[in-house]
Amino acid sequence: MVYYIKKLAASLVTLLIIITIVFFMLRAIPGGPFSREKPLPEATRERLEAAYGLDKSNFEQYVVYMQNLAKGDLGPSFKNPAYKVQDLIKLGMPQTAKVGGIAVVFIISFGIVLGVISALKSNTGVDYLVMVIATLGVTVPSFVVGSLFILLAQNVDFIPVGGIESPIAFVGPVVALSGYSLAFVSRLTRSSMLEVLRQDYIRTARANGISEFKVIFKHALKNGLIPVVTYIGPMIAALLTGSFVVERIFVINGIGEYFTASVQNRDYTLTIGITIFYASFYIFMVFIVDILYSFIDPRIKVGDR
Amino acid sequence: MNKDNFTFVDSSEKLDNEQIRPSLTYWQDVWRRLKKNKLAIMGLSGVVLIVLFAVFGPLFRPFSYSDQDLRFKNIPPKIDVYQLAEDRYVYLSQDYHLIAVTENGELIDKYERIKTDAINRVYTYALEADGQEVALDFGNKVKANKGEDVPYVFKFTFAGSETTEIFDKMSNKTYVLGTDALGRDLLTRVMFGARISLIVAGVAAVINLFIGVIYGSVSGFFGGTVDLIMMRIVDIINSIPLLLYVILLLVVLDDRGLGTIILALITVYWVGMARLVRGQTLGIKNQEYVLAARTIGVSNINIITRHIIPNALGPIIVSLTMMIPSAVFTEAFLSFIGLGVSAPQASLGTLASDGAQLIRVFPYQLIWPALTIAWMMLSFNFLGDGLRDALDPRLRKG
Repeated sequence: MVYYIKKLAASLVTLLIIITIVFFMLRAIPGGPFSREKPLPEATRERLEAAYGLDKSNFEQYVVYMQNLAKGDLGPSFKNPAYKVQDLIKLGMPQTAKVGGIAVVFIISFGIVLGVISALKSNTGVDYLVMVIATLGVTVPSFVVGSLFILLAQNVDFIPVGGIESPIAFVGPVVALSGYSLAFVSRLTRSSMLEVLRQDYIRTARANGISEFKVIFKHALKNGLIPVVTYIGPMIAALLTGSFVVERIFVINGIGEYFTASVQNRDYTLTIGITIFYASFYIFMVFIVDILYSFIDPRIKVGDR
Repeated sequence: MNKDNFTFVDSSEKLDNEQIRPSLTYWQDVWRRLKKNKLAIMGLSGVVLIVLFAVFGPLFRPFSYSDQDLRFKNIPPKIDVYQLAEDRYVYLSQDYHLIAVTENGELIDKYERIKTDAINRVYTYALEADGQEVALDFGNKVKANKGEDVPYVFKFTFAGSETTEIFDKMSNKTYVLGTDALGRDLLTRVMFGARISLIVAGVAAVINLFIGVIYGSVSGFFGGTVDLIMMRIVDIINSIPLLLYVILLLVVLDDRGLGTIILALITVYWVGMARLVRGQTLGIKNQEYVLAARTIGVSNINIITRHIIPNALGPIIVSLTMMIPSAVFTEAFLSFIGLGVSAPQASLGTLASDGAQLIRVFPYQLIWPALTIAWMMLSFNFLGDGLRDALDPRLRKG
């Protein structure tokens, strides 16, 4: 228990460091939120900057920002002052999470099953077939899959070209989003299962007459999943928090789209806000993975580290 | 029992013939096993081919990757040629440019459009060289687009005679894969693109491999506070979105060259390898053979390099071969949002993302770069899989 609390505290410190780094990183980039191609009048710019506290020193701004953050306030977006950053995240999150969530379920259920099948039938036709399919997933970039899908949608009536209003519209984004990770998960599962199946304890288990089903799912899969879990944790964080490419191609108003726009517009508060959101989610997933480790493989003992 | 009943057998028929094989080194053994794997050999030849294609291919093309010919914009690899007169062949491009071609499909010159009659839907073209006029009636094309049945699509009038039939659908001899929006040879650009993608991915992957393996194994092996601090650093680096690093690097270094992009890829990607190696190390360091090594006093460095890394090599190699495609992908993604290598240089990613914008009109501009990416990925993946099986010391027999 103490271990997990320590871990949690360490995660919070990490998050704090990330916020600090991103905060100062963004201010190191030349150009500000109010510098445009056609410059604003000097007086207007100064008043705008004063209104948002940008005339103060970086350190003072940082202190103010952290104070607000402690109250759960991420500040107004510079480009859309009518919105608070947290409101924009709330607006974008549902779309992103829907597509990402479906993709995650799709990847985990298919990826692991395909990997196990392929490992059990290694060097047979089934193995080759699965691996070729899995390899195809990593051969084509998501924007190419997306573009081809849009081309298809334009010629077929029942698939909408963009947006995610109807269930069928999810097919394109989910396929484009999951192709790469699906392939990675199934290959990782295969390679790690192959390792595990060669271990002595599997032979012992088989020699003891334990049913093949139990050998695979109870003995082999548990150890075989360790590298897979390592990958899946951060992957979930990445998928649920959005893909810039897929959201842009399929016109989904999600977080990824907001993030790209915010970096290009130097909308500091929005960029930092989304980064904090992304980072906390990511750190949470890594934390979960660490806990899962000790459940899956008791050899990785908590006390050892 | 009479000894005449027995005969001496030849030594080759002896059952207990002692099997003598030349002793193989580890790498000879790896190569022997790799050769048996058809898929891996396919992958290896694919990698060799793409490297040859990228390195030597451009020598056989008369164009450079930046040569523009604005007369021949967006010409596809397959062209419909009309024969207007003896010795006069033309190709009408998608955006109504009339191109003079030879009988076997080489591009000669572009006709100037001298008269535009939008009401009757007739364009008149003339070749600068001889000034002879060609009239094009595309009224039926408009009708055909609305779904009406028409006897022919285009009607050319040249020197009094009319042509409506396509003479032949032939391949473009001058530009084998066609040209892009600035009239640059697509094949040459794909070759250069492959070269740039390979350099970016290869350099980034190798550097990542070294950083990741050293970092991950040290962190996993020593555990405790060392592990905690090292993994926190990894978490911090990994939690900040790639895009932020790239934009920052581009601004700070003020350069859109290969170096910046490789640097951006390195900043982020070694982290994945480090996590993987650490995970493997955590599992391996508690195995009995590591304990055995410890009891006989093997130094920590030797345990890591002799016991842990070789035993974690399978997943490391798989991850390395996936890292090259993934670096190519990331680079393509950066190109897609406009942060790739700067023009006129182009990577496969830049070419594919340029092509993706034009997919409805000129699909060939996406297909060829995308196919080259696919070829590259497939080869690396097959090779990596084969290597994984071949490198595994536990598979050694005899």
